[in-house]
Amino acid sequence: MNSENGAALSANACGETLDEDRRGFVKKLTGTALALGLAGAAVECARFLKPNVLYEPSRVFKVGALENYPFGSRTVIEGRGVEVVRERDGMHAVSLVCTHLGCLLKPVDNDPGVGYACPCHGSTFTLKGEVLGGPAPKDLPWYEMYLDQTGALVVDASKVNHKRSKLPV
Amino acid sequence: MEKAVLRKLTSLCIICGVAVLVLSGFAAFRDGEREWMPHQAHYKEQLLKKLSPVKNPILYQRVLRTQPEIKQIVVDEWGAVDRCTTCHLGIEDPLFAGAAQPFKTHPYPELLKKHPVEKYGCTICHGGQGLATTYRGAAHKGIEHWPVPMVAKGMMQSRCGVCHKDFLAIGADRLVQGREIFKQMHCAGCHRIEKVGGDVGPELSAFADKDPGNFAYANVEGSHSKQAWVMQHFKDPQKVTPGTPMRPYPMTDEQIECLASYVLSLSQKEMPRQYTPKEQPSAPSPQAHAWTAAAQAAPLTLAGELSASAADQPERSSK
Ligand code: FES
Repeated sequence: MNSENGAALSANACGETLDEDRRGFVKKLTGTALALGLAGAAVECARFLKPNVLYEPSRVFKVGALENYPFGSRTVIEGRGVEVVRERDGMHAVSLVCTHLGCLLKPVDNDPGVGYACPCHGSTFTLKGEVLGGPAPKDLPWYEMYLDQTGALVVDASKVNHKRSKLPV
Repeated sequence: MEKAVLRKLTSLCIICGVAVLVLSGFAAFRDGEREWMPHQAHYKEQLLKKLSPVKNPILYQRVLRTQPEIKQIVVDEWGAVDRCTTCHLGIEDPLFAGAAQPFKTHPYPELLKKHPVEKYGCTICHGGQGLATTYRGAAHKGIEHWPVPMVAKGMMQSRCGVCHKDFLAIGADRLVQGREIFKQMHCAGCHRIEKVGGDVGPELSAFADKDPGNFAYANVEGSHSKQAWVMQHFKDPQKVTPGTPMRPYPMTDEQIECLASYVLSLSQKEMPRQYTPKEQPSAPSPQAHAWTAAAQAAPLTLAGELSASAADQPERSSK
């Protein structure tokens, strides 16, 4: 580079074109550095907006040992808005938050056709969480469930069980 | 002239661009290199070896798919946010009883059964900085600007006593011994606890609630924590608090630990209602009888404490 510069200075004739070349190179360098720098900054800013963890109770929680859930039992998990249901063919955890405006549903056990009723605007759901009537637009989601290595049942309310597959236990 | 300005601006642009690029590269690198991340990878590896893909395929697949993440326990009623389980992943898992730290199972599983980690977190009992996700930051050893280091093994019971006032019922031998020493040494001659005792020294009824920032650490060796202050103060009051009328008492290190544990458990904090016992057993256990008798025989009893609990009795049993 230095020797080239020296050559450029000594040869006046081609000085103009060489100057153009250098100017083009510097322009490109400036442009790239700025663009990359800004892109990096933008990525980091976006990353900053997505926190690693929030100040809220974990959405994955243990609900106790399997023995506490006999066949045919329906157990509301206090404070979590979830009901754990165990039937002969398996278990599932269903959300108790009404899909209309988010009231907490009441489990119904004196009507075989109705599983849950909303005290706010009267939506009703089947035991499986499908909408029966009322203003609720969507079925109740099921959450993923599993048995951990210590034998405790765990509900993962951060993951919706779209397939509505029961936990075979 | 104009050309010179332009040239300067160009080089400024280049320098700034490169600087921002380097800085964001550094930030991205640091974000991907957290101290807890290798721990989680290591744990996953170990756990997968212990699990069977046939017996519990759902769990196996789940573990296989786990991504590194910060684990957090929020204990609203105590105001604690603990991220200790980000590294101490096997704390409740008997499969990790023989594992090396940080995965090792809690040494007292019976205690954990009564205090599930998910409900109480870690720092309520152990102290330390729950929000931290580094070894140093968690105050495993004392650190500056965080006044509550992890409680030393010998003084763990001081934290039990903050909530559990019936030391015998929970088998807190060190607190019982500490309370006994407090009596034998006639500490109540100068220090008041629960309306009983002299006024020469400061009242100790709420010693556990005192702000560690208000203690004088100029002559305290090691970490600047209340625990260190109390221990060293009991060993040599004159040194830690020059000019104090308190004199050193002949105590072994273990006795000092017991006494310190007892004093550090003295709290006046209102427990959330669900933690205060609903009813006292109407007939005290024989052990408690022995304790009461021993206390009455001792020359300087904490009569207030005893009579207060006696006064509580009819009220509670009437419920
Ligand atoms: S919130 Fe349940 S029906 Fe409106």
